[in-house]
Amino acid sequence: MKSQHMSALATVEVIAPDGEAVRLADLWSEQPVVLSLLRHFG
Amino acid sequence: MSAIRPELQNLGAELVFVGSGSPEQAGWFVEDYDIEAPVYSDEPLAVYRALDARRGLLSSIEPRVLLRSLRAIRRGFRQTTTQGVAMQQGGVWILLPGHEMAFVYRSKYAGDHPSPGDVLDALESVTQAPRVAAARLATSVSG
Repeated sequence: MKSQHMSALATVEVIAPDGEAVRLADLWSEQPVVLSLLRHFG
Repeated sequence: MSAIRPELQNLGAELVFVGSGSPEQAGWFVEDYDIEAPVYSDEPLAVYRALDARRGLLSSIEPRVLLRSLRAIRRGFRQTTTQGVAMQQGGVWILLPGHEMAFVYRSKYAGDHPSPGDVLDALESVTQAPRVAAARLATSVSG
């Protein structure tokens, strides 16, 4: 299932707790990812 | 979802959490709940928007929301306003190499999550293809 959602995700960056910016799409470039979007932390 | 991380990893996948709070709050989340999976902050809500996660006041006005807020305060969180965007709902997606989307669950209200069994079933149904693709890639690179 390809979708506009995947295109929209392609360049999105997120920030690790240590401040490092990570391109989210890189996380599933080599393996499946189960992405859990939280309402909030805690 | 953390409880099934070993099963997810056995199927060749990784569990990733993204929250709308700050990176510092993400760190507290990791420490407070002993989270071993990667956790990231998305304060601009770019991921939520890209995946059309639900957002709205009605989905957040529930007794459980208040109880969880009280629990967070009891546990010592320095929650000046919130540890994320209160009206923002989450969900679970399975994303595959090649930018394929194999599973979508958009939470309708606070506390609405897919069953772990559904996530595992969905992952199991698609993991064979990425494994084959990865093996082919490894062969082509090494060859």
